[in-house]
Amino acid sequence: MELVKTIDLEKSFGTVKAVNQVSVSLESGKIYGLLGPNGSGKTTLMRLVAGLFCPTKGDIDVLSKKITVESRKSIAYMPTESFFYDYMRIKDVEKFFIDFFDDFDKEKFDELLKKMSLEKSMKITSLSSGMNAKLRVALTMARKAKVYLLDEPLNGIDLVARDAIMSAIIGGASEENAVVISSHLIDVMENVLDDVIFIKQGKVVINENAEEARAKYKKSIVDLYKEVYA
Amino acid sequence: MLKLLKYELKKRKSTLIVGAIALAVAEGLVLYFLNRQGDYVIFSIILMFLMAFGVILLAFLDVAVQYYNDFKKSQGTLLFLTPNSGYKIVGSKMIFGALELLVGLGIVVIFAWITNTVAINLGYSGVTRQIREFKEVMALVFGDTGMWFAVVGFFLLVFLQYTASQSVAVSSITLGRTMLSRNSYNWLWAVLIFIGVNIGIQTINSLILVGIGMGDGLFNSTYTITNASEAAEMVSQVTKYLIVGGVQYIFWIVTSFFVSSTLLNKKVDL
Repeated sequence: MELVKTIDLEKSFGTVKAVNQVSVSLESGKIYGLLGPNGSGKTTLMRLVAGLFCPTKGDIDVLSKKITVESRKSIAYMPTESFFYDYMRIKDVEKFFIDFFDDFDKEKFDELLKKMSLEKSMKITSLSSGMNAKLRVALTMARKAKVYLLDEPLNGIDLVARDAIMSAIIGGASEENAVVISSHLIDVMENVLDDVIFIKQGKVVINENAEEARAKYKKSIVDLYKEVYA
Repeated sequence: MLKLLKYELKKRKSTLIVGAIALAVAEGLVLYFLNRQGDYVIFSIILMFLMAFGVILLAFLDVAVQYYNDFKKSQGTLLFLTPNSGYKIVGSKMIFGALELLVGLGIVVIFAWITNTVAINLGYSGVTRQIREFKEVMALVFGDTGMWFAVVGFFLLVFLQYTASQSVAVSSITLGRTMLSRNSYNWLWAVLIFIGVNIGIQTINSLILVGIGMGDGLFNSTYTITNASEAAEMVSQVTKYLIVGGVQYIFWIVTSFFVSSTLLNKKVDL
């Protein structure tokens, strides 16, 4: 089932086209890798689909309807940076999500927190960047959304934490939803990706099933990435 | 909407506590200087004015800075990711600003009443006599009930005027963000828009008030009340200007709300 569709999507900042003529489709039951180096347009594309940016041109359909504020009920977006208020403890953030997202699953959140060794009494300002990333993933994956957009969830994360984060993401993926992970750490993600979307200077240059791409180019996704962005 | 207001309050908790303590300290100083009597009394009067001005200014700055930071800082993402429309988000900002102003002005009025009571007890006959005489004149012109309507009407007008300023600030920030979303100087753009829009609004308001006769109506009659019919004329004039002034400010508040909300829904990169 098609959950999100972008049609000739463009986003310009001044004279720079951060996203250029992007037409992609996200289907349920798949984990997508949105791949590209820094500045390639991954975050802009994600923020467009999350409804945070307004397109300069083109359209975005979410669940076969034009994107609106209501679409945010179906999309769980995890930004790459910490986005909590300084006064908050983890329990305050949990309350915030319960207040605003009907699909937030408190029990799943508790379970994810336990797996990630986080306590609800912890203050946001006292969390390390790794702990903060784990919290962001736990909050996002605790929602029963149709589309999960995870922007660089592995940035600055140590090896042990990476496993916990990847496990939470894979655990949340199902036949009912689509998961999009943006990253340049392809080696960590290669085995979990169903489809890969390579983005370069705002344009999608490869958009294929990961297995088919390996067969077609006779390369691993890591090697293909190196070739595309060399 | 109530949930949004709750989080507006939560993130300002520390600032509001500090503000309340500052007001209490200022009132303490007012009473201290009043008690010392002599030339010190002038400090009490200055402090009372500063308190009223400070409440209006701080409420205005708080609304503007918090809203601007929602766009500028990553924490804003937490708010903008929620499935709340621009109408609810902007509405909560404006309502919170208005409540902040109302509570602040309320505290200042209570402190002014305390100061007045202490002044009477300390035997400051000059000031208290002037207040009493003012009340007597007001009662003569407006009647006992009408006097309180006039006082409440005046305070309501002041409240609406500064709430309108807050609302224009919110729409100026939204407009600035719409026009120059990625420019680090969009705060300056917002300030310029605010000044420009305010000049426009004040000009339109003044033209309307002059158009309905404020210039030669109110001020002339103020000095020529000699009988009951002139007093009645004065009451009618004051009522008219209070109502027209109030409607004008409400119009600007509503316009700012719709402009900001629509832009936030459709044009602003969050």
